Amino acid sequence: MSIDAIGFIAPAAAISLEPGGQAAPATDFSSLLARYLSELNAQVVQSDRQLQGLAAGELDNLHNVMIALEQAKLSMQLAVEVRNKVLEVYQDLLRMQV
Amino acid sequence: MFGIDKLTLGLVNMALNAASMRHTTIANNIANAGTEGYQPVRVNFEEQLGALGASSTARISESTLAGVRPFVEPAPVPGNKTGAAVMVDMEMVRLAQNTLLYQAILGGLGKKLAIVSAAITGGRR
Amino acid sequence: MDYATAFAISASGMLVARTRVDVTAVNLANAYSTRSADGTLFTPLQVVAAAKRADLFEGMLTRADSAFPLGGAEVVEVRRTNVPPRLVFEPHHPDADATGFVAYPGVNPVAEMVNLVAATRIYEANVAALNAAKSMALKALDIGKTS
Repeated sequence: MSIDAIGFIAPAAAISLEPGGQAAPATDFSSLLARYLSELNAQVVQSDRQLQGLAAGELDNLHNVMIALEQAKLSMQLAVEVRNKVLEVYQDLLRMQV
Repeated sequence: MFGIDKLTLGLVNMALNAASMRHTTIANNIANAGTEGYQPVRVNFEEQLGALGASSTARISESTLAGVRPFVEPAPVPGNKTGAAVMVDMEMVRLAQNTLLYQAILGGLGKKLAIVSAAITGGRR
Repeated sequence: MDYATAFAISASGMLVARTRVDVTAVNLANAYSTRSADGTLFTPLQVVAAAKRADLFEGMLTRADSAFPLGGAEVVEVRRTNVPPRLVFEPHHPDADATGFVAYPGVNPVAEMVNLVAATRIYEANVAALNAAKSMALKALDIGKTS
């Protein structure tokens, strides 16, 4: 009795997260994460700069400042939730009996 | 207050102090609207920022900010009249603008703190 | 937000404006008073206000606004003006003098009404300043509340 290797399961196609279904340039999860985090950082820094402008007395784009700050806050909350979910999944994996 | 850039924090703090001081000057001008020979006062703060050469705040740095301090000065009066009467309608406009600026800066600071808080508390935990 | 100072300044402004309104009311009420308690004729009253210097405490000397201690306004005095009386020919009036003229106080109703409206507007402006200070201080209390 020969034990065949599990070869009938085709290697999973590259999972792309683009809505159009095209293969994304960064399919590696860690680089995706890095790109997302740098976007978040850019948002926070940008909102910082806009708040400085507000403190200097520029009231003409008050709505932009508030929207940018709120976006940055939501991005941060999203990043934190993603981290929580990843940790949950990791702990689930650890608990799996082999 | 960690999590917030020192320059932003310093600028926001100073701007809030300046707005508070400005309200005191506006209230004093309004209270003395009928006083003869009264010299209207104002706060000098944003002019100092402008003199730093910063049309966009990207050029303000911590060292240049250290030399900025809001202070009360006599309001420049148009023309050669000294001790001109207080213009109550203009003071009301300044009051509305200053109140809005103060509340906007506070709102922005609150949101910035919420960002840091979201990172610290990690959502539900 | 130094709301205590702001409230004190606005309150002093309201007091001065209210004094002006009261003085105007006294003037208008006495527009036809031909005699007064001390025998002299009533002359229109006038409010003299001045800027009040806030008390400088020890720690305040280094503050940026110590060169201009802002304390609002105060009424220095309510004094009688020297407006000449209005003479009206009423020979049968009990207070008529030898030539038949009665001296009425030189109250100018138009000027008094202008003062009244101006004082009322200034009172309202002081109230608006007080409310603005209150809303700013309340907004500062909201820091940290989840938004």
